[in-house]
Amino acid sequence: MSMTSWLSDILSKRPWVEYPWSQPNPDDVMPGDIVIVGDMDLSKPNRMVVALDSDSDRRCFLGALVTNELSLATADALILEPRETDLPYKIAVLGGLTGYLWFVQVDKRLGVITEEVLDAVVATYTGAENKFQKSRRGVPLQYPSWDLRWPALEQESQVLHELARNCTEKRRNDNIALPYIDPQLLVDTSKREFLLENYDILEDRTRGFAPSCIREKINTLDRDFLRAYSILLSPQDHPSDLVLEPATNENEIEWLRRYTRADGLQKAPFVKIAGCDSIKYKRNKRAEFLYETIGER
Amino acid sequence: MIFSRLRREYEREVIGPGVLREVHRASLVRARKYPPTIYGLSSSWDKEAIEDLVQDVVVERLLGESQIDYLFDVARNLSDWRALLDRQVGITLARRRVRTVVDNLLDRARRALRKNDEVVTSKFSRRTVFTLRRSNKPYRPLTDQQIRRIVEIVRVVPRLRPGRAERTPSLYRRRDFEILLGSVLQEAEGGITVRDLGMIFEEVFTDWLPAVLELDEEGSFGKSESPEAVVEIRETAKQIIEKMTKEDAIIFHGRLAGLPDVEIARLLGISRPTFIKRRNILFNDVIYPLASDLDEEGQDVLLEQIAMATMERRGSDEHDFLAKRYLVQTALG
Repeated sequence: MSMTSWLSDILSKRPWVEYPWSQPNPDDVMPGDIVIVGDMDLSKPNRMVVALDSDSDRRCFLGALVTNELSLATADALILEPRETDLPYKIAVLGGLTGYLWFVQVDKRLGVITEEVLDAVVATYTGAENKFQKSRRGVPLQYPSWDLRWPALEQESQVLHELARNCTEKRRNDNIALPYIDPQLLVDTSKREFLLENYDILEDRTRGFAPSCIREKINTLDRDFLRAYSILLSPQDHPSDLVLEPATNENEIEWLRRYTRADGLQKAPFVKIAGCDSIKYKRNKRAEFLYETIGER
Repeated sequence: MIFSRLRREYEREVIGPGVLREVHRASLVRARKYPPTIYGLSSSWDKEAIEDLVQDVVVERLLGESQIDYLFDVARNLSDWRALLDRQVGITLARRRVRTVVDNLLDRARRALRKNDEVVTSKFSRRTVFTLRRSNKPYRPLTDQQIRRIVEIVRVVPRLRPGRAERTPSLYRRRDFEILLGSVLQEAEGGITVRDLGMIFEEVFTDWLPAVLELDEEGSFGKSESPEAVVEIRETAKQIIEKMTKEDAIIFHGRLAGLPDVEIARLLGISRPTFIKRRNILFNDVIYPLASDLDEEGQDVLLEQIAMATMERRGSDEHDFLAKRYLVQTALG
């Protein structure tokens, strides 16, 4: 059989692919939209993201990275079937890799997920438990020396970080909270363990996304910590009633950089603390950080 | 080739001569970086081996998994499109590597299980089922949930570094492999078939897909350790294990497997803050004082040693109890 004959045979059996939600350069982005985003000057490759939340006043949205490489899905990801996205292929939504993007960065809308699936996608971001998410998650990410996926994830994180840079900068300049911790608090070694525990609690179920969850716990948590913890609220929800301005002076950023353990984050101005691994933490006097990066100085 | 022309071809006939030419070019460039005996299923990257690869990329990836649509959905120019196509060729090659590795492990598992006096065989729909002699449960093909659970358990078993041109690398030390198989049999109470095991190993090697080609190019893979150091570390691990309670073992194993904290806490039937306290005590008061003198590589080896010891202990009544609790918790959602 020649090459073209085998191909013709397969192509003849291929169903016609339709994109019922497809729209080039949409005016608006709604939560649940699956969109293709690029940078303003067309110099960087596009990426697919799912909109978790949208701010039509500021013309921006919070997007979680989507990949076609299902092997990159970890415990905080969600693998979606074509019937759940109206796309012809499976995708993995990486809830740990998110960033703020402008509406004008959207090249086209490709698909839309249902509300039930959106809840599960949001759960990957907030860290909330969701039965559907749990049944569709990927293989948990182990320590960097045990899991070969770290370089690929860090690379994707960097790409998203670049795409989200402009919008994130603007949000910070407008005094809208970013999800990172005030490094100064961690400098105080006497409080570090306690703060990390508090941080873990916040990260566990709320991860900054659902203000109502944080408000439920707010009285049980350390006030100093909360003042410095930049709670990431819905983009439309101004956080001034809960948090002070995030600390962004140069020294603190440099401090944070020094404390960044993951190799791929060495150039990242802001990183998000994922937790603390005592065995490494004590020896190196530094905390372990998640690969996720948000924001740019 | 102009991208707009390629796109028009895609819109007209999905894969036409232009796309096929690109796949051929990408396969040729990619394939020659890797040993043909491992990745080409051939002694050389001759015309036939390349065409086989082209066919795999087109049939399995571009059409079978509709990645041709993804490429045109995401790329905005020819350079982006080619980068995405190159990734598809890479994944096809990596899958071949993983399949070879898994096939080899299955052969090895079959031999090891047949030799094991604790294991009995039976038939289920013409397939051989391997079961622990003491088990009295009937065989049922493993569900996705059971496979996920088993994968989370056995992923902490340390893997060895394969050589670049090694077609059938060992990947697991003999003893570790036996423990791995024992853990699988213990979790799959009704027994397992080779097919079940194949699904488990494919998940265990998930992390190879995005990385194995680069690692083979670099010629470095995994960790190295001196036998003398391992003996010393094994002694340290023994001391740590003696101090660990059964809950500690679950906490440790869960952390190493990368499970979210909340899941480990739920497994133990404790709140998350309590879990955090216990985790900190385990690492700060039990593990760290004995591990602090080791370098980073030594600490990794120590973690491996403790992991294997905790897996061996899974056979005890206490661990059976915890495993059952896990199943109940999972069933309750």
